[in-house]
Amino acid sequence: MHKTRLILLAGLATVSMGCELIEGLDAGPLDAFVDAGPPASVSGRWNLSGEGQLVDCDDERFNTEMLALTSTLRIVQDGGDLRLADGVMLVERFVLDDGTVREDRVRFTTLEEGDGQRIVLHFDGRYDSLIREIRGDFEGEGPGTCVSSGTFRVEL
Amino acid sequence: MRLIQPLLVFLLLLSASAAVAAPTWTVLPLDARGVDRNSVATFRDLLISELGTRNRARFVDAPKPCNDVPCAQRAGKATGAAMVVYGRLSKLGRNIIITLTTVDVRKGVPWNQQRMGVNTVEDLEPAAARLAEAIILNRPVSQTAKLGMITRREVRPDRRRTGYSGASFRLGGGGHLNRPDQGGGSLRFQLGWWYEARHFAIEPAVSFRMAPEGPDAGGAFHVDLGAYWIPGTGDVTPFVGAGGGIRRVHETIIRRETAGQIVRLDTETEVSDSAWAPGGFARVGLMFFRTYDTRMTLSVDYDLTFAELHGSGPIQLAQGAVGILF
Repeated sequence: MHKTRLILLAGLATVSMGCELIEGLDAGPLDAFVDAGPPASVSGRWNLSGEGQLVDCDDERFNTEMLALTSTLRIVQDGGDLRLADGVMLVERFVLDDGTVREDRVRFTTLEEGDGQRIVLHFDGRYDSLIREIRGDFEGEGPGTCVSSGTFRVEL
Repeated sequence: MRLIQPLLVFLLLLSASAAVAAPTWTVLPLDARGVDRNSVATFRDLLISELGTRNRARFVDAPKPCNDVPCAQRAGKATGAAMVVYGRLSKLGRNIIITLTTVDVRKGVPWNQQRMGVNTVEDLEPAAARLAEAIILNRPVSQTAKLGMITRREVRPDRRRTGYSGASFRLGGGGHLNRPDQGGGSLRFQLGWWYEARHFAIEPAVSFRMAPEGPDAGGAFHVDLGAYWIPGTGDVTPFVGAGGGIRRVHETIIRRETAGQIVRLDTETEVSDSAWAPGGFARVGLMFFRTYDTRMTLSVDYDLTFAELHGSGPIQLAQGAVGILF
């Protein structure tokens, strides 16, 4: 009898911990998300724009509170994953990394290397299907020692 | 032909009657007291010419001068003149005093008397015109002064010993000649002190130059001394000059940089630079509305400041301005 009670208590504790773990996933980083619905469809031509600041640059010419960010990308979506469409790249290396879509949340990282510069930008935003736009924040490193941050928008 | 002949006869009679109707005048030889006789004779000729121009009278010659009205009346009756002018030119110190009396021969009374003084023989020519005008219009000679008939004695003396000085204000604008990134126009306000002699002037001045609000703003504060040559003395005259001084110049530019090719990062940064530097200017202009108290100017400057801002060479400006000098 005593043994049976202990087993029940252990079972309840395990269930309780499991429930807390699931709640923690809901509030945590995107990696910890539990899929609650299908990912939004965001493939196609992205007109990326943003504004923010660039600080801590070793080359002082780049330090500014008026940073403008622009790009046009062709994105292919495979389930919850994003990748660049095949095309000619004018730089030594350009990578779209960690491109993921979870419901309306879109995250991706760009890495560009060329002309001796390396620029990494992390984007994290939400897709609004009514206006077909992704809006969110970005932060990054480069060129040089520069640290960037700001807001961005992708028009699909 | 039958109509033309009577018409010609009528015109001949008309001109004859006009000739008859023209009064006869005579100007008696003028008495000379300490004045060169040739000059006096020339003055008489000029007076006859000026009188004839104004009254269309017929002049007859007279043999000798008179000093009083009865003498003049007798001379008039002898020559058939209705009006007789007599008088003298007298030396008084440096001045020549001209006195003329016009006598109505029929009445035997003076019609008017005129007097005028000149301080050079050359001024006898305008004096003849002025006196003739006064005689014909029967008004004081002082009321016949007009441009071109002023004698040296009547001209306000030059102030060349004490000079002429007063505040000067200039307002203008211009632009850079060698800085396309600072191509926007700028306003300039100058406050100075203008000291002017007969043909030259100097002007210490301070001026402020500022660009209107905009992304590429700049400005300057100048302390300059200019010197000018003024060739003319009339109401309107050009002037040229040059000067120099010390300036405080500053410029703010928007520096644009770009990084990345696929995701492009464009940066804009306001960068300011300033310096104290020497400089100079050349100015050409026009003075107008020129009086003893004020004058206005229109001028164009080439301005050079030996300052290097943002790594760019001397600042060259072209500027125009309108000014008023008190």
